[in-house]
Amino acid sequence: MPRCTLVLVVSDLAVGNTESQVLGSHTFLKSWLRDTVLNIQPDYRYMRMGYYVSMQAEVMGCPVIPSCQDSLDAYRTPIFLLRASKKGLAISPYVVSDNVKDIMFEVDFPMILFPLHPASNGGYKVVHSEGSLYRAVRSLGMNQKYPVCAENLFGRLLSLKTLLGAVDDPIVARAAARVYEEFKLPIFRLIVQVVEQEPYLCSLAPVHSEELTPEDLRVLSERIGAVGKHFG
Amino acid sequence: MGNTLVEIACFVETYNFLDREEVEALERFEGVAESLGHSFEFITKRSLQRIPLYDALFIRATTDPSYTAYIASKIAWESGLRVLDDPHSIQVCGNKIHMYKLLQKAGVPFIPTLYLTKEELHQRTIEDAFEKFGRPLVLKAPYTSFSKYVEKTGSEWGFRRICRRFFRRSDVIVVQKFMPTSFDWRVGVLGSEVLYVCKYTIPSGRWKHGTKLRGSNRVVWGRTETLPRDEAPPPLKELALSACKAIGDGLFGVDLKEIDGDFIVVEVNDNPSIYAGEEDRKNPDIYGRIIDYLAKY
Repeated sequence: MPRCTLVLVVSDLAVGNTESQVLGSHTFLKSWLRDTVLNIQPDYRYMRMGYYVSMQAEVMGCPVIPSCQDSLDAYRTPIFLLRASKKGLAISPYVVSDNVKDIMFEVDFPMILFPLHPASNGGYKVVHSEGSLYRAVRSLGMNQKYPVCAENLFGRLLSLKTLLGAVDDPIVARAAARVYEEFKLPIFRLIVQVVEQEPYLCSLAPVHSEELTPEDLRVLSERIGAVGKHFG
Repeated sequence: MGNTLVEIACFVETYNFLDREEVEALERFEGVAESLGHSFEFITKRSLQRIPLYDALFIRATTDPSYTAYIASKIAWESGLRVLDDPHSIQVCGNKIHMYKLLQKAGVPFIPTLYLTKEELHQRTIEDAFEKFGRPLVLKAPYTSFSKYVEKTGSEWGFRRICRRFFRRSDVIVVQKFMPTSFDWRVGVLGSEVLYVCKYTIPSGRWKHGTKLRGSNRVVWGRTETLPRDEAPPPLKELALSACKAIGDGLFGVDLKEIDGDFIVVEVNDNPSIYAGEEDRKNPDIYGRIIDYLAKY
């Protein structure tokens, strides 16, 4: 098999610069190109087009950002927190369970709950009492078919759009860059809580296409050239 | 745990205890592990954070990258445990498109297949698919398991209807040639060795091993006929091993069809079913071999 030599940007967004070739997702899936691939999509959730682009590149044996494994892990909150904490990033205390009593034993109110069911797309619920916790565990867990990830909410909650590791908040900037280094998702929403100028990671979510402004696309296009260093 | 050699956790969901044969198989795993000096403990989604306390994880709940079993597998993997099924196997086998593309890359023969994206669902594509594969053809969602989300259709209308349903969860689906046989071979493989061989028969008048009765939630399953692995046709076993080699090095159940004396792969599954009196009937050592694999460092 030929070696992968070029960096090919695969995206359905209006991104790109004079130094990069940009291909749409559908064209890429039908091709047998063997380039190094930078897959820029707002959503890399399992079985969405962003995921399939990375899968196709991996099957072809090409280096790709992000990898399928990183995409899968980043959106599953307990795995995201486990991998982030192994890298020394500060995370919020959490418990994974479908049982209200177990959750209350481990985590204090107020809590932020993240669903772990297959259709979750980055939503969450904040609860302040046992009654609301009970209802949230039932709805987010699809009647206790799936557990939830419950975290203690003890700071100011932020949800920040992150583009190739850059975020518009100086307090969170370093943490966001390190999350990008670990998971390499070009676009993601980082959910953090800030206490005394320190960010604690809560979760990571996809971004909706309509949330990306023309300025965001310009920033992405500008930074594409600097991404080459992330390919091992 | 005193003199315990290896502490094995077995991740299960409540549905694993609904079928008598499956419960018996789980009890046999437990019994064999304990007779070999290991501990064997069932854990559920409430105990995910205790996984790092064990030495090995054996997953019996249905695996899929979007299910809790994947989180269990990944926690075990990140914590350095030996794990069946490992996250990579779940990732590949949980998505039939990924699996078929790897088989294609490795040159393993499998059922003639096309991949269809949401945007390609128009009349011309449908006509091309029928022209290529004939009528009826089979539509398969990438997340299929236990014969679910695999449907056949001979009409354009049916094609569109099934696709729209499957596209709700996946942006790409599988279109395949319809190749009816009276049974599918199932070869169980562990660590690149054949573990068991059986025939999953197709119920009379049906075309899948497990078929839902019209207007009911009841599923009719075909019989399972097992044969000693040494008596299975060597080309069958060789093809099953080649298919697994393209995917990974864990516990797999490879489904194959025999057509005019030739074998082709239907699919490779991680987390294959093991029911007492079925897969183990002629190969009773499968429990010990799986436990040994988990206990090996």
